[in-house]
Amino acid sequence: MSSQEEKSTYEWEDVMGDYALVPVAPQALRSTMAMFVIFTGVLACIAALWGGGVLGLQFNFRDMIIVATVGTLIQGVIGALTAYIGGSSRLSTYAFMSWPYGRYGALLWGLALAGITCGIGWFAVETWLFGIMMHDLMPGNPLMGVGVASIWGGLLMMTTAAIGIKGIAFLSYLTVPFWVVIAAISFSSGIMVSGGWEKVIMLQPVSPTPLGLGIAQVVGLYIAGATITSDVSRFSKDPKGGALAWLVQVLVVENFFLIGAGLLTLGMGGTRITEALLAVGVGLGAYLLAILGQWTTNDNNLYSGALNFTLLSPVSRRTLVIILGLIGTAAAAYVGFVAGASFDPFIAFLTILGSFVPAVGGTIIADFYVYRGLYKKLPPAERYKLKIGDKMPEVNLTGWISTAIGGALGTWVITAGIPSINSLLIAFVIYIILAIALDKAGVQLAFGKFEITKRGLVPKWFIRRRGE
Amino acid sequence: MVEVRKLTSWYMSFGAVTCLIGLIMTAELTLKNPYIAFPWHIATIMAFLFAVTGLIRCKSVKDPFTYGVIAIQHSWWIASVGLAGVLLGPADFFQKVASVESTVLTVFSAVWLFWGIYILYLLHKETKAPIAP
Repeated sequence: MSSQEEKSTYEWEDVMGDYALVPVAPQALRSTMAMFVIFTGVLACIAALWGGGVLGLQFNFRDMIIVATVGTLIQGVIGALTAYIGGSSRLSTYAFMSWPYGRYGALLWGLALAGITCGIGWFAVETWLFGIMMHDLMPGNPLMGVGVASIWGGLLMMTTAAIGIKGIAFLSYLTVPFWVVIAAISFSSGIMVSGGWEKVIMLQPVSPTPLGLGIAQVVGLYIAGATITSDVSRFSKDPKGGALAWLVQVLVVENFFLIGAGLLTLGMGGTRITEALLAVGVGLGAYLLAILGQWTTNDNNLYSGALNFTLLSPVSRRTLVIILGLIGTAAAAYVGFVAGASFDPFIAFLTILGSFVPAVGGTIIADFYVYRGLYKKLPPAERYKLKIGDKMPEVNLTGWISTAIGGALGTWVITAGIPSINSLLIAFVIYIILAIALDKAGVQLAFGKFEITKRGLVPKWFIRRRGE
Repeated sequence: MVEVRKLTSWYMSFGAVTCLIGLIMTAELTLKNPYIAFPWHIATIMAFLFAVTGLIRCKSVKDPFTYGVIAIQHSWWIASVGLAGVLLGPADFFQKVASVESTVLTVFSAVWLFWGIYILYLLHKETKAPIAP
């Protein structure tokens, strides 16, 4: 079908905005290059540089390269697999979760995991971190107090998320090349401060750590992001484009960020990356690095989070972004203003939930590639295809069981290896065994029926409330 | 539309030529201090590639909207490198050894940035392509 024909046959009505619950329209699709820029914009955050900075405290130069490369390769493969699902279905992570989990399952898991963990929870935490960073950079300025900076920072981040994918793309275009130059400065100033290339190779870290633990840290840094790549890749013109863009940005750009920041802290013996950049005399660039870096990542957190709340809410996606953004900003500012308050318990809670997110990824990958692909032999575009008049289960327990077991074992029971990868692999294996065994036995663990209308997955009560 | 195409070509050509000058300057700077030269190498190589590939891609496109999308993408990237140059050039790190080279490259960066913003405005207005395609 040509793109013109495709445009004229687009039959969906997008009542929630930004194609939250319907397939992305052909006219909204973007190039592989645009996917690369958006993904890199999301990656270009202080957390990536802090992650690299931590590696610099634990590994020498050679080991740092091994740890960063292996870690990013794992992230790259997982993210590319989920990105391809978004590219071929043109649906958000939340929407296509309706197949392995049922509609209510998608609601529950999407909300608890992607909505709270990757979305609103991290939006609040990173807004608060933004306040701390601004305070560190300009301690005497009243606008840079942790609470005050959290407020204006949170509001800034909310604006692009409220605009939607266009706003996120706009900021990514502005930020990405800038960040690559900054990482280059981090890289070269790290070597210069250390006394030259020959000395860098000989430098030993402050706190030596086993390689396996380092790989786990790198994977954990971005594994939740790798699980929800479809929220961006669904906009890709070429179904493989989003997957390719993800793989390249993780293997090339993230590696560059991690090693660049690691070299700087290895050379300086342990300072925060923004402070280290200030110390070597990068000046204003360090401030902009902090602001733009946090902004491009956190608007995406809020955007993804709001997408996952759309089914529960009677308001549009944009209104949701504003409401959730204000709540997150208020939480960050509260912690910032109240001396002694700490986000530690909250971060611990999010970390536990974060171990579950990859279990969702494992279930989705197993369902799309193995169960519907290898076993049912459906072509990729037909595996998660939303069709008007089709009926979808309200609850599909197969996905619930594999995710619950994978998440629980990976998070609390198995202590060896990388928790997020353990969760993912266990959920992956359990889903395949369960789904194929149930299919062969002719047993269904799916209940209820939801009919797809031209509004996609929008619930009936939402339509009734609108008086239609 | 013809005028916008001409201005965009000039902008990208200017970007490519100044990047070549920048590359020669950074090559000289490498002899003085390779660590200070490295970020400028990255910046000028990136801007050069964005400008040259932009010129090549735009040349073969007839449809105004498609032209706008491609030209806006490349103009953004050149302008973003310009932003990095404007902010970083005056920093102490670069002024320690390379004040002359850094000053010249900062001026180039400022032109890439501000001319780029103007081109983005024109392209968006004339071709109706989105500002962040």
